[in-house]
Amino acid sequence: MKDPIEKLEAFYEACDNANPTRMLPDPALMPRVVLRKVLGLAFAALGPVLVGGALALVLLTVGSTMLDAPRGDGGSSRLERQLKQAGLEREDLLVGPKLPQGRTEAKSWRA
Amino acid sequence: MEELAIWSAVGQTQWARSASFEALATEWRLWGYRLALKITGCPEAAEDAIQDALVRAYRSAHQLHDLQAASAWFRRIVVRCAMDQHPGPVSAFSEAAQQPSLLLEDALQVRRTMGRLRPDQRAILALAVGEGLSYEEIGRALGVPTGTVGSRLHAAKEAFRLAWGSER
Repeated sequence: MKDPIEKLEAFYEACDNANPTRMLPDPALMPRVVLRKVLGLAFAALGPVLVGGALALVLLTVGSTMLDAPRGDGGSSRLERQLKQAGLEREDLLVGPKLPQGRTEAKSWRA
Repeated sequence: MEELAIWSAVGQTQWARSASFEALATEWRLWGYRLALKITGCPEAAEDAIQDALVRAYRSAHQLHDLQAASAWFRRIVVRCAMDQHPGPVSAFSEAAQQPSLLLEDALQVRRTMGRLRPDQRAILALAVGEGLSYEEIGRALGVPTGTVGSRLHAAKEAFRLAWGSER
């Protein structure tokens, strides 16, 4: 059997006759160069918008937190005042309405 | 020397740089592509490698201080770019099919076998067997000491033979 390296040599000879088919890259149109330019322009244009947006978001968050802050009426927040007016506790929001004492839904179904 | 004339224009103005780069790229693209093809075994990967290499060369032209070593410098870039490529599915390319000393079946098996080697093994085989470079030139192209090239080449050939046998 022939040494496989001879097959490799023949393969390399074939490579020496091969030609690239794609166009020569124009330095001014090279993908990476273009990408860098586009990204540079995008950052230059969007930078102030992004910074302004971030600043506005921070201001809005701080503002809304201040509006929801305790008002000094015994430490209750707006939500707690509304719950008190409706005659509910905070836990009612989490567990739902309480069933009557001593009765469960299963017993009422059997009955 | 043509290369010297080309590179002496580099760096003066952007226009001069682009113009001289185009001349250089035209001159080096063909052998760069063939070298990349020997390393990757895949025409598509070789096309990507040479495009990548030209872009890298264009961007790092300022790093080239020794103008006489420009070819070796570009070869090193091509080798690195070709080693970074992931060859696509194995298929024969037209030049391999036209090579009288190479059966189509053998060409496909060479590509399959190459796919089982590490990129550095494919590169050293391409530079030594395919390009016929000296150990010193191979060492420079791969960035390894000249003293280790012989043993690495021997190991790469053995790996190729072993992979060839297991492919059969």
